Amino acid sequence: MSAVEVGAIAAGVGMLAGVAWLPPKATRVIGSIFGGALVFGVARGGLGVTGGVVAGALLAVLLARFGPNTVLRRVTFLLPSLLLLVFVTTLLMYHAPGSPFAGEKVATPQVEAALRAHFGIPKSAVEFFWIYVRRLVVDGSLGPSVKVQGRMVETLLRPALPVSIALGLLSLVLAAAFGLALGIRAGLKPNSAADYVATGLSAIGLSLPSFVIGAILIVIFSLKLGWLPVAGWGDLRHLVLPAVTLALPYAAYIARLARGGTIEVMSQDFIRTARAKGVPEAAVVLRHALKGAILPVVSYLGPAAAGIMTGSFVVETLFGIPGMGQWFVRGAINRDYSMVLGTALVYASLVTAFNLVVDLAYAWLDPRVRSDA
Amino acid sequence: MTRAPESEALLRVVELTTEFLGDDATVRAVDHVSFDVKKGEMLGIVGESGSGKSATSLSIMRLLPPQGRVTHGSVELAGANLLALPEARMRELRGRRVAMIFQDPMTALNPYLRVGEQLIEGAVLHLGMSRADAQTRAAALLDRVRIPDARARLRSYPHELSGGMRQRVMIAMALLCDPELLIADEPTTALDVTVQAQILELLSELRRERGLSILLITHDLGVVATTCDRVLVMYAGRVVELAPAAELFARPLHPYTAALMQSLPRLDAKPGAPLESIAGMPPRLDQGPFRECSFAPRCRFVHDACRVADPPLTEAGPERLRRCVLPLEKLS
Ligand SMILES: Nc1ncnc2c1ncn2[C@@H]1O[C@H](COP(=O)(O)OP(=O)(O)OP(=O)(O)O)[C@@H](O)[C@H]1O
Ligand code: SF4
Ligand SMILES: [Mg+2]
Repeated sequence: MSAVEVGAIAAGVGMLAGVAWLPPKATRVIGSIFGGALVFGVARGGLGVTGGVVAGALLAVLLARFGPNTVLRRVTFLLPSLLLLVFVTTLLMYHAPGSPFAGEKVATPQVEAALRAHFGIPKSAVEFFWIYVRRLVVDGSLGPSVKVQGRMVETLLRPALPVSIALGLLSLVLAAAFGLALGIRAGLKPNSAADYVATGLSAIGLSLPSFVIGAILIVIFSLKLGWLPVAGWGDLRHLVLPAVTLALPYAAYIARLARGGTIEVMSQDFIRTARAKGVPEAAVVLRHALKGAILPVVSYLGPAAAGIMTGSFVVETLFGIPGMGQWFVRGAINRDYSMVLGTALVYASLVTAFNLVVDLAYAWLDPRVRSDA
Repeated sequence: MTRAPESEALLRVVELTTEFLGDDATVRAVDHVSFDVKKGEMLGIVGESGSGKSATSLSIMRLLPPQGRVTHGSVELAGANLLALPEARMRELRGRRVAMIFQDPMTALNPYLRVGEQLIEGAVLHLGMSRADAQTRAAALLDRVRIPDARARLRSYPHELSGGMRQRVMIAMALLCDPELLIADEPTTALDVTVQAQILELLSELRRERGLSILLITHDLGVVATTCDRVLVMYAGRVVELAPAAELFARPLHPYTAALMQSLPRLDAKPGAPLESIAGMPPRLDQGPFRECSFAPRCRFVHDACRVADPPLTEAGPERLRRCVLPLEKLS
């Protein structure tokens, strides 16, 4: 690695550390500006430059006025982290053996130089980084794909994105629903039969890798029972098995968290107060205990979403689903730099957006976070 | 035993015995405890930590944790045995006829719900009020317990209030459905001294105003002295003395009560003089019945008669009970 590269990484990490030290006042301002800028970047594609500016300014004002501190801090981190993500990914791709043009028969030095100029892929990683970022900011484009010639990365990803989002969201909803139901039931009656069943299921779910679970599910529900398609894409039924496969380990872990949270909350003094008021047990659980019991689960949803996104590479491949995972895998194999960076950026944005929602949900659930963070 | 005439006793606890099942031992936290609370009376229960005060109050409310069981005795509220009621009937009674406030108003209020939300719950549940009516009632009561700007406070969360304010909210919440009996388990222990005095004063006022009966639990004799009509002293899960407050302070008839009083900070003490506390530890409660006086290992007056058997609770004058075999004249 060159001195410039090392220095740039150090600067990026230093910048993130610096953000961590900023007082809430500063992150409120910077976060609002960054948030507005990001919305401009995303909205520009659909609404044009004027629409983008309006949407960005609107969000910046909303954030500055109503955003909880945790959310603004996260947004402040976002822009430097995305830059660092692009830079480090670029370095990794350049330092890995091979190049987008290595396999081409035509690649005489002159032809390769022409191709490199055409696609904006110079020999130096740092130069590539600048070209890439400049194109992203100025044109709002993820760059041309080298392998699918004549197409931009964003046009290729656009149809794949909803597929991946649908799969990811369905998995997350399944994981949360089953995990919470199982875990809360278990936590309300620790050491009961329901608790042992939940704890046992959770241990199994956590120890089996997803491709094993997937294979077992295919054998049972597709091959033996014939209820669901083996693989492929078309309607919702194609989504069931992959989503369940993806969700299982997360459901297991969420069950564990929910059980712990429930036991913890139910032992609190305020639960006794509620009972002393004559509140029926169902209302004690739903009104007084539920919020506190699911807080540990809510803070885990962010990491869970990231895990489900990365897990979907495997599952999409296993079930032949035309989502972003396939573009990422193909991009990596073909050394299609822009494609790899594009998928990485989209995944990172999705995970961050989701984390923001989680932060908001947490602040909504716990009034103490809302006021003193 | 001295007993109030039937008509006057609102709460009558008879030989209440409560045990906690541990992994390898059973703790008898409350051991044949009997007492009455008359209409409009404030009865104090004092005793060191672990003497079974909370276990007694939770037994009355039937809110013991799962390991806890009432194994003997009865609890009558205006003649009806609470221990025999089906759970659904008991629930209708909690918060409606018997209300309870707890030691730590920070943890006793739900941090996730607005104060108003928690306040009105009882009125909606027991009195069938609409939310709006219940809020008006709650605001009036907050005003009564001297919380400034009561309407606005309904929208606050507990963490936005001071400890004293939170305890006032707890009191307002307990009184919302006009209960006959209020059980206050160490309501001032977590508060600083000036706030303690205000809360006690408030409780006394409310009692006079509403003819409320109060069972005031504390480990602070000073608190009882100023506010209660009668005092029950507990030691090792048992009643060791029962007396009208003034008489108890004028002349304690049990060495344990006397020792507790000695450990009180006194106005005439030299500044900086160390507080006396009772030497030694309370006995273990998981060793079966006592074969000698339970206070014997720590008693200044211990003598042979104390070792023969566990002394019974006996009358020691009008309205006075004590559990000690020392002749009265020797106690000084
Ligand atoms: N959940 C429980 N499991 C087992 N033992 C318990 C439990 N709760 C209380 N005990 C025991 O019962 C006895 C009486 O406890 P209790 O809480 O009634 O005391 P207390 O007089 O209220 O003391 P404090 O002033 O500390 O509140 C103690 O010896 C305690 O160890
Ligand atoms: S019976 Fe004996 S040991 Fe017990 S309190 Fe009385 S004098 Fe002390
Ligand atoms: Mg207690």
